[in-house]
Amino acid sequence: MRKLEYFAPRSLQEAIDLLRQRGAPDGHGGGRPLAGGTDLVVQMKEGGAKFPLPSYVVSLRLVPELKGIEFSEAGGLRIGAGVTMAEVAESPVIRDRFCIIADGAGLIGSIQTMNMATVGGNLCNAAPSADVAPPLLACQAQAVIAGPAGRRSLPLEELFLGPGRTALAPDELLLELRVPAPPPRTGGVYVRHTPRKQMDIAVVGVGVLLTLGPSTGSGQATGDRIERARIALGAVAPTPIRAREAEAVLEGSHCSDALFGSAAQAAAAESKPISDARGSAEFRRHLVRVMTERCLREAASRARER
Amino acid sequence: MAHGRPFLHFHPFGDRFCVDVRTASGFRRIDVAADRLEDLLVELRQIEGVVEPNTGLFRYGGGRHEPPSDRTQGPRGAGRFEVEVDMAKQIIELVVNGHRYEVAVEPHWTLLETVREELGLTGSKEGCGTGDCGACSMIVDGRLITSCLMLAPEADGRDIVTIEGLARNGDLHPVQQAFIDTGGVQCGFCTPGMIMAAKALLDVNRSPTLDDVREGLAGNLCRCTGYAKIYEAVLAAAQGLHRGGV
Repeated sequence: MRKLEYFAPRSLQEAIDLLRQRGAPDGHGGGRPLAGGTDLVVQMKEGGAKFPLPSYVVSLRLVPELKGIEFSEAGGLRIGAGVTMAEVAESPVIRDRFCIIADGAGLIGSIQTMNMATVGGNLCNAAPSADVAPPLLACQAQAVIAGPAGRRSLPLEELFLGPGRTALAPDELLLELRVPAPPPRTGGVYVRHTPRKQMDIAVVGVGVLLTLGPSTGSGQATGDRIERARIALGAVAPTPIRAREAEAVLEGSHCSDALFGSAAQAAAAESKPISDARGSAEFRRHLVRVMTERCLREAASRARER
Repeated sequence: MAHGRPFLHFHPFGDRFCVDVRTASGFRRIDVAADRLEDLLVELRQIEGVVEPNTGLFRYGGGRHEPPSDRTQGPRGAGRFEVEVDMAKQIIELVVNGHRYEVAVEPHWTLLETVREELGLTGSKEGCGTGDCGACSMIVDGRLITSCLMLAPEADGRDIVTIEGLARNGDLHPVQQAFIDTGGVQCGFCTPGMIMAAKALLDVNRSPTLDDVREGLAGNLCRCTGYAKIYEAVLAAAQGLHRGGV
């Protein structure tokens, strides 16, 4: 690895000051924030084939503002950007109320990866296949960003500009994710397709969050009205995306196999996958359809249990 | 703090150390503090690589006998000096297998390199260097991590367990013994990482199923065994833990 300078600020302000004063990566060095290191350190070791090598890193390990998971019915869920995947996957409140997010975090890499990698790092690395992105998109998370001018908030979807590119200015940091408390009868699920269960990168990832209307009392697996549907797809476009046409197919209609089938078809149609070593575009579109259909059934089933 | 010595607090900042100097007897002592600082630099220069030749002491806040401009810190006498230090190396503190070490590291060194090459603990291996194979697995603050992806300064002040720290008074850890008993070792290169992952699993799950073991060890690659004997060893160790109550 190339030599670099290392800073370990103890506050958010100090971290931002360092990034502002010392300059951003510009192709000739500059700085990068360092979170878990499972992406950045690998990139630094690989010699900057895809990204300019930083001349310094600002470690976020000791920045208290980036820590913690908090939840209240009124305030919703707050996940600090520096929270690790293991902390998310183990969090009782996330497992209970936002299991779609625990699904995604619990799939990342290995135990070792989950103990190091952070939510903020996964999102800011901006891989189209990032496993926490579709769950958070489906939950309509807001990304809170801190910079020299203070804080701003934007829908997570708008954080992603393309592979490896985000809406963050070089001296801004992703501070936290905010997710509203789910209404009653809301259920979600995230699944991904990988040749290997762990230590692999999604060929396709699908996250579905459904909110159902009042129970019909029939006890049947079908018939409930879908009040709200959110579908998010990973690894099938330059960024993680929402499948809005598929959502529109579902909202206001009643759960049925036929409805789920047509929504899944719509999701496949609006995905824009590429062909690469992990799978052809055609295969990926097929996966979107099959996985979306399965996710819809599972999400509806989880929603009925709430 | 030795009597008469100023309290020096270092914070690495940029290519400088900022040094807050606090003395008990007013600003006149700042000169004494500065002299101590220069002595300290001389001492630091004895440690190869810590202080680069172009390092010097810069006194801010006016002339030698004037109080420094920053009078806000410290009750009676305080000042700030900036020492320009080439950050080639910085000193970190590691607690490895219960022993405390102060190590001068370059920030781009990994924890793995530091533990192997500076502390001489070569049990942890570098397989891939990119966090895929798990041969470098260590337990840091109770969590299993790949030490090839952790920059050495990220481990500053943390509690680290490596494969060398598992045996107690010459007795192997039950997981180590189980690997021997079941033949879970072939070439041995992945074994330290496998054993650390197995220990981390058994620390939180004393009765793992085969699936739990597969999942717990999914971040560790073995190119010899086909894993069957390794899983058998971990399950046997779990049973041994129940019997022996280690």
